[in-house]
Amino acid sequence: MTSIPALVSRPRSSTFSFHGATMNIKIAINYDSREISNVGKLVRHLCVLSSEDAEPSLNQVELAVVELLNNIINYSKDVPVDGLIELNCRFVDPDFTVTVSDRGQEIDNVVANEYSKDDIRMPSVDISIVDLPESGWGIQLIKSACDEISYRRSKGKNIYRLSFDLSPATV
Amino acid sequence: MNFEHELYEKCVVFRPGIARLDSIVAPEFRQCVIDLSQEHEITIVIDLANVEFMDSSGLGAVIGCYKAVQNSGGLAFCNVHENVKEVFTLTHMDRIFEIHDDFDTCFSKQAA
Repeated sequence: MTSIPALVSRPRSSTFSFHGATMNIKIAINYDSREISNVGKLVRHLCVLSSEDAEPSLNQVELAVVELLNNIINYSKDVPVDGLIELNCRFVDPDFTVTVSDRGQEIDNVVANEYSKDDIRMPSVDISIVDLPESGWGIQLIKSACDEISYRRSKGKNIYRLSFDLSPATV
Repeated sequence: MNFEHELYEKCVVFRPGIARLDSIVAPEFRQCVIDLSQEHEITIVIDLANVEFMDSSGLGAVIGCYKAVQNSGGLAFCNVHENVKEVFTLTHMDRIFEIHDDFDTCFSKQAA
């Protein structure tokens, strides 16, 4: 039996619904880095509950969600945001989808385009040691971990959609 | 944070007692390794047996450590969890870092 982690502060809204092979769960959290790890662990647990085939994908799901929340909260440091970050976790066999929305400032075009590109462009490591980058890995890790990712700006919200195919043949 | 270390003749073994190397602990982790390196000027062996998850902030801290210790003995890793190894592999840092499967192998290499 695994335990569900407690958040730093209680999510202000959460809904749960299970319908046979589907699941839909909403989580809302503050713009607080201290909440990221527990949300990552919670999404991992939801993945386990969704599919018995999820095990090989768990780290990738958690990694993608954590990296995205890191980015959203880092953006909010420039212009503080009212409200909450909302996550909608949905499983329709075999797809586990996490839709994340926030009311922060619109992300710049370069970053937005990077979320839209299919190719994964990790920073090069074939360079001198002193030039190895200590940042800039996050978006590429998200793209590596997801089967699909999309970003759009709608009605004052940044909306990200991360999809993971949990079918055994793909993991 | 629970950061333990043991000093040997040819290396310092650093054992972070944390399950997650993420944005919350990364700065302290980085500073701790760099301080050890500057104090002892020998190889730092980082035993990651307790670390089950690492994000890009943790990776950045590890890279920062690696760069900082180049002139004072270098860095080696052992007992790397599959989840952490996956991040090293995805980012190709597994080609850069000295990574050993277990502590004994890693320690023997440093003592040789």
